[in-house]
This record gives sequence, structure tokens and C-alpha cells, in this order.
Amino acid sequence: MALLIARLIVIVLGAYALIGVVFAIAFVTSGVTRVDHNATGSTRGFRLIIIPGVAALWPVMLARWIAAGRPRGTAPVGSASSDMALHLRWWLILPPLLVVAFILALINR
Amino acid sequence: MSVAYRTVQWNAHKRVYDLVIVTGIGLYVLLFLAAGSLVWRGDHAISPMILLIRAFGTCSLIMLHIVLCIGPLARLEPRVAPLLYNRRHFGVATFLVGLVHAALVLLWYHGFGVLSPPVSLLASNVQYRSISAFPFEILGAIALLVLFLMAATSHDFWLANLSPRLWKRLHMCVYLAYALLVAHVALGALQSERAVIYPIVLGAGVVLVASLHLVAGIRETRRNRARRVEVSGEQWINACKISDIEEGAAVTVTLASDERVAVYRNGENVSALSDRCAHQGGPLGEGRIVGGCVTCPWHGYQYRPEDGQSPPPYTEKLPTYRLKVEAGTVMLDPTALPPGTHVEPARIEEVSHG
Repeated sequence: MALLIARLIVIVLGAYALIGVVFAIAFVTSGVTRVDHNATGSTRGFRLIIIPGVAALWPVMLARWIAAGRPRGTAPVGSASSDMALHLRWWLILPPLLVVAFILALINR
Repeated sequence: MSVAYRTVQWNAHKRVYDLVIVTGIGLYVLLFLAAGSLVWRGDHAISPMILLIRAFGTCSLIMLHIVLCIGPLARLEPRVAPLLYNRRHFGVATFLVGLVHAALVLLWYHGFGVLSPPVSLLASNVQYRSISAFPFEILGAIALLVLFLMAATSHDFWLANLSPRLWKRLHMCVYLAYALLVAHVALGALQSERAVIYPIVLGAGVVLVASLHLVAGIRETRRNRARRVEVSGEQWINACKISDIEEGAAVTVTLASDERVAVYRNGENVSALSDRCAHQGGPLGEGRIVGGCVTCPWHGYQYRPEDGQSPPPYTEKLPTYRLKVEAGTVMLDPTALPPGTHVEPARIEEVSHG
């Protein structure tokens, strides 16, 4: 059963990555300049360097490509206070969890 | 800053920064190999491959600790801010070192069986209910995936196309990766290595990172509250005294809406613009005027104080605010003007004229 699940996970992730790589090659070849005008005249190295990200986030970039040309509202930058609150929330939650994990790991050695 | 994207935006400072990172990694691995072959010998001797796996694994973990400390340290001590300038390259290097560790593990422990290495990794140990025999490799693999996602989206292209808000939230997942890596080590290496020094060192690292983040976060929240000005329907609010603003620097004011405004003094002129850099939300109020432009302390993005626009050919724009000076007091209209709106700077001479 464990082997079957492991194989299934690897196949699903592999298929996702394969579709992503094929999409990324098409995207950096012709889609990137439609999605972002700053990519016009960009270097070949830039197109290569974004391939892993495009392959990983291909559904997001596919949606961007489809929506290219439509007016896009200015994305909110978000307030500094909300960012800080989010950072703080992470660090109020993580330490107790880490302490518990640490203690459990040590007493079970 | 925007215009045609380049592969890597290197300059002299970044080259030195990157050189230090690469040299540091090389020296650490060499020192670890030398020290490790002295420490683990005789009955405890380990193979050179395992030594190499440990060298890259510990190097990546130490680098992640440094990356996580830079942010809050820069908030607490402005002299650390230059380290923030090229933190992205540090983050990408951390992922690459972790990737070498993972590749060596896959090769050494899962590369010689009948199963493919990823299937072997997932299927060889499924004792998820045990703590001492927990499949800790999975935690490391998930953490590496998160670090990959962050490294792969570290170019400014992603900031522009995912939106700064989403990009920031995505990159906050580094905290999740950190927690997973700590658990990976606690349930992995700490189970086999019984010396007391290892949990002490890991625990000290966790305490350092957590306390720096908590102290910086609490201090920032308190500072925001202290600088908060209540509007109560008035058009002009008292922002600060002219004498509070150093030449070429700013005073930051927090509005009731939580927005922060940087009030900059540039010679005889006073201008106000959003405190939040359009790039990664850096605190512009903690920057300086360099070459006539407000310069972000985090990555050097620049804006003209009078209209919040980056100088050509760059295209970033920030909201601006109207100001006037009355009897040595800077009065601010809290209504943000559309990004890039020109506002005539208030003049300091007005002080003497009352």
C-alpha cells in the first residue's frame, strides 16, 4: 500500500513538473512579453532563470497569459502594519510548536 | 527597479557579497570535512560521503538561520541593513546548498535499490506514528520544496507578476520551511547522535531566531502605535516639528488607517510620500536622500520626493501627500494622492514667516 501511494505521489508530481517544463518553454519563448512588457528586450539569461518558477507555478502563469492584454488593476502593496502583524503571528505560533517537537524528540531518543 | 529585466542585477557590492557567500560555503565544507574526519574516527568513523552529506546539511541549516536573523536584526540595528541588500542571493545559495545535501542523500541512501530514488524515499520508512523512527527525510524534502519555490520566484519578475502582497506572503513560507527543517534535524540527526552538544546548539539557534523576530515585531508594533496620529475628520493634522527631521532624512507618521507616511526634509524643502517602497514594502522613512531622491534602505530603490516617482527610465510610483509648515510644525493632509502626483514641497522659510 505504501509503495502504491509513493508511486502515485511521484507520478502526479512528475506529471505536474513535466507539464510545467513544457509550458515554461512556451511561456518564455512567446508568452512572457505579453504578460509583462518589461520582459521585452530582456536577456536570454533572464528567460532561463524564470523557467523553474514558471514550471512550478504554471497554472498561475497560464491564467496570467490568458488574461494578458486585459486591463489589470494596480495590485495593493498592503500596509506595513498588516505585514508586521503576519510576521508576528508566525512567530507567536511557531516557538511553542518547535518547543513541543523538540521535547518530544529528546525524550524519545 | 523596472525596465528590461536582466538575469541578475549585479553591481560591485553584490559581487563582493556573493563572493563572500561562496567562499564561506567552500571554507565551511572543507573545515567540516577536516574536523569531521578527526572527530568521527575509530569505532565511530563514517564514510566520506556521509561526512559530505552532513557538511552540506549543516551548512544549509546555518545559512537559513543567518537569512532569518538578517531581517529582524536590520529592523533593530540599522547598521545591519546592508546585509539585507542582497539577502535574496543568500536565500538562493541556502536552497542550492540544501539541494546538494538532498541529492547526495538520494544518491547514497536510495540510489542503489530496485526502486527509483523518489519512490524509495517515500516508501522505505512509513512509521509516521513513531517519534524515534519518524521518516524525517520527508520533512526535509517538503522544506526543500518550499525553499525551491522561494528561490525560483526570487527575481523581480515574480514580484511584479505575482503582486508584492502575494509575493511577500509566499516568501513568508520560509518560516514553515524553517520549522520543518528543525523538526527534520530533531527527529533525524538528534536521534542518532547522542552527544548533548547537538540539541543545545540547535535549541540555541531556534531561541535566537524566534526571540529576534518577536523582539523586532513587538518593537515595531509599539513604534507604530507611538507615531500614530488621530485624524478625527480634520483636513490637516500635526505630523511633526521641523526640528524633528534631520537634513536628508525623514520622520515617519502612522495614520489611523495604518498607512505610514514618510515626511522627508531635503534642504529647505519638506515632502511627504508613502513610507512603503513599491518594490518590497521597505521602510522609506528609514532611508536617506541620495542624489536628490529618497532611497530605500533595503534595496536602494529611489523616488523623487516631490512626486513619488522613480527617476527615468524607472517607472515605480508612490502615493504622495500635501504638506504645509506652520510655526515650525509640519501639517499633513492625510488623504493620499494618486501614485506619482506632483506636490509642491513645503518650504522651511515659512517657519520664520509664521
